[in-house]
Amino acid sequence: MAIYGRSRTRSPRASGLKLQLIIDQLHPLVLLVYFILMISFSMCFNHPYFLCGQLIVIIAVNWVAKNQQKTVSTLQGALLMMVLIVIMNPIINNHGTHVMMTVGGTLITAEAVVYGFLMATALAVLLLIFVTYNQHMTNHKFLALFGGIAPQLTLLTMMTMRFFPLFIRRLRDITAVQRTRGIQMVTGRLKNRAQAGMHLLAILLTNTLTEALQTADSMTARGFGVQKRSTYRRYQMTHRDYGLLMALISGGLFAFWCASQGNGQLIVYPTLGTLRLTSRDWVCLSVILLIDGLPLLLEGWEYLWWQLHR
Amino acid sequence: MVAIAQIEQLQFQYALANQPSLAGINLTVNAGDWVVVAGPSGSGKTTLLRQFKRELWPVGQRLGQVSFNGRLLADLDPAVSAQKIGFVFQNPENQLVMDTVIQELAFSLENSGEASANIQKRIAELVSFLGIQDILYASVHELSGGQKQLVNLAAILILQPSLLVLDEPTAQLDPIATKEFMSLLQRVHDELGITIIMSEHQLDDVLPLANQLWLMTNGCISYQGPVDQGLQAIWQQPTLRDFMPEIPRLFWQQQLTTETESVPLTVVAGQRQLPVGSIHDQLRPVVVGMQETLLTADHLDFQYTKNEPYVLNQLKLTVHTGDWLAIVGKNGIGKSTLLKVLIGLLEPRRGTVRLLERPLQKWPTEQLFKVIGYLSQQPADQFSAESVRVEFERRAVQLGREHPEEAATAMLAKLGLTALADSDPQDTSGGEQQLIALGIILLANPKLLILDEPTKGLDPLRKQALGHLLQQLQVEGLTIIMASHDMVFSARFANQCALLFDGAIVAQEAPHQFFQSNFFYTTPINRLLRPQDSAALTWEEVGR
Repeated sequence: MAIYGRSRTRSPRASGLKLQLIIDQLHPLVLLVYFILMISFSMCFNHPYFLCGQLIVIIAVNWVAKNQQKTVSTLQGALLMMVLIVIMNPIINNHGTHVMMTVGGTLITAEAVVYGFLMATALAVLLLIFVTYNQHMTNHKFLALFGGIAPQLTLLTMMTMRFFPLFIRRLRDITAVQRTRGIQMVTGRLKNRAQAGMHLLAILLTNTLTEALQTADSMTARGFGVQKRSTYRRYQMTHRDYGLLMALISGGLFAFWCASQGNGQLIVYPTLGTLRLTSRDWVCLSVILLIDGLPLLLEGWEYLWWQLHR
Repeated sequence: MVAIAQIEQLQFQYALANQPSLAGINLTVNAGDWVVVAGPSGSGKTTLLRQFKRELWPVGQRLGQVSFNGRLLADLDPAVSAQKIGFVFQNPENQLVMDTVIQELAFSLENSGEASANIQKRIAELVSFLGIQDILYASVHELSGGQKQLVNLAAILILQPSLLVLDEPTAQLDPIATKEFMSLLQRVHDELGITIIMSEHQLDDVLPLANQLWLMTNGCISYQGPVDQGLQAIWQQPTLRDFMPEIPRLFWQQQLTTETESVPLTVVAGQRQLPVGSIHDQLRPVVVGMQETLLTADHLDFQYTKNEPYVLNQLKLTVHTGDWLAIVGKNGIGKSTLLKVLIGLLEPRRGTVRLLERPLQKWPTEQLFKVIGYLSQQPADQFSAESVRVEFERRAVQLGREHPEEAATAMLAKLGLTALADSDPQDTSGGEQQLIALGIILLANPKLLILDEPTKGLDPLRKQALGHLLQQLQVEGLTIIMASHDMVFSARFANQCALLFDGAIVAQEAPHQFFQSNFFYTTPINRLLRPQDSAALTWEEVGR
């Protein structure tokens, strides 16, 4: 029957059953910890090897999530800012001991140039982390995290999430219809346009309030406010979630301890330090990359499992 | 038989009203009944249905008693009342609270404080019963009207009610979605034993399923009892005859049943009872439009966003002056989109629309919308004033009429809205809003009228009145393009019918040719009389 079939928007998301990555099956709490760790790593470690390693892994993570388009467009957008940082930092900041040249009386130091590059790379990493974040941490998962702590607020947010797109759609309808009545904001004097805008908003408010009364009726009819509400928890912690959470937390603690010991940091000021890594640096780097590459590991394991079983 | 709900000596008067909306109501609903409530708009159907659900009791003065399972509704535990009596409203959109289907289902149970694991289980079994697993995680914005109403029903069923009250649940749905909703209700009724009380305008689909019929006129129950005698009761009140579904109407009108037989309600029962050769066609004369072309659409392509499938694809359409073109097709197939493209509210990707030989882009907006009138699916979007009269006057002033008051008064009279002149358009019923919006449009004396589902939510009486009004305007030279999924209305009034499918107009013919060649997409009378080689589409077109 068509009623169960495809919805009118023809969107692949409509069924809610789109292809899922392993990372999407994890509990939101694990996801949250994963993202917190990634973000802190990108800020705690400034060694070029660390940053480049993270950059490569995060690009790969986005690649696996079929996020190529967004990755490229984000990198393109970030490029301008990166160039700006790389150019501006040496001009503004002339600390450091290795002077490369002077431009119009400003000292350009090697330290400042390197630091500019590092900051720019860290920025790119951070931006890409947020691309992944947006992909995996849906609003629902985020809200599910707070459902237990602040149920009222969560309910309110959920309802707002429903109403907002509705509002926009209604405004579009009203604008179209009122345009046929000669009330529009496209041409005419500024004052008239502003008046037309107010007019449209007034209609929108009247109409949506009338509709909201019906929603309120529907809520009351289903016993809203009769007794204390419970919260439906859609996501349950599984063994895998607990295991991964433990691994993430212990790996993260180790990495932060390393950071506090000065591992993974390139000394830039006052004098550029060495790029050489100690053995603990190497261990720390692998832990960080393993944590950042969690989705890759999970997908890889999944791939192997299916290959070996066929 | 066990009475599940009872109303005794009920009288109800809204606060601020000066006469009661319901009076002398005595009703009994037995467990397992399927009751259909019929009656004109404003006869108090909604007010009556709301009496069965205490949470929805309107504000006003209530005399008499309503009881549920032998207990007074007023004494019922709120939690029991919320769960055992379910209420589904007319508008599919406004009942939804949350933004995904699963959250919507969970919302009902969260209200009653169910534990999370229990909610999971209840959702699981309901989803299996209704087969909605595919839309479980979908955002409610992505659902069609039929799917939304299904979710609304599901969100009630999950509370395991024993009485289900529905207020015109299919008024906003297209015929296919209506049929699907009805067959689902039938399963709910037959398999779960849930008692159903529903009000409905379009009785064709529901009467064969129901066992009780209540007729309401002016706040009183004028008939309650089995469906069969109910039809007789409708027949005896000439003002209500338009409520009669097409097939029984034909049998009553032509006296085709014998004393012992009951009037058939379905196509198959009708075919069995109809004596061969007993009828002949009396086809209505179809007005032929003038040869002058008013609007043409040439190779239209339209898509909402890049890389999306085309909604309109190489669409061609010609409309002549004085035509009444009905564009039929399933919901969501692009009828509304086509109308918006035809009047320039949406820009086609390719192709041109010409109005009076002039491409649409070359028309100044102001001038264009004096020639074209557009009535959208939400008539309330048209309104901006606090009373109907002011609404009309304001429009008349805007159009530069010399005597706006007179123009407004004349329009009120023309549409039979004089009684509503001073009420707030927002407070009027759906059908009245439709008429008010039409009035605003007609004040400009447009040459072309674009109507998007004009019969949606109208009761049969108003539908008939609207049809006659538009027919009158058509005679006066107005051209009408209407998107509709109401096949009977199109067959009765339009002089051109077109089917929109896959982004193009697949057929555009006069109604008799159009429906005659259709097998599925046609009127009940046409289906009934098909074996007899009749071309009749409505009961009026059949004689003895």
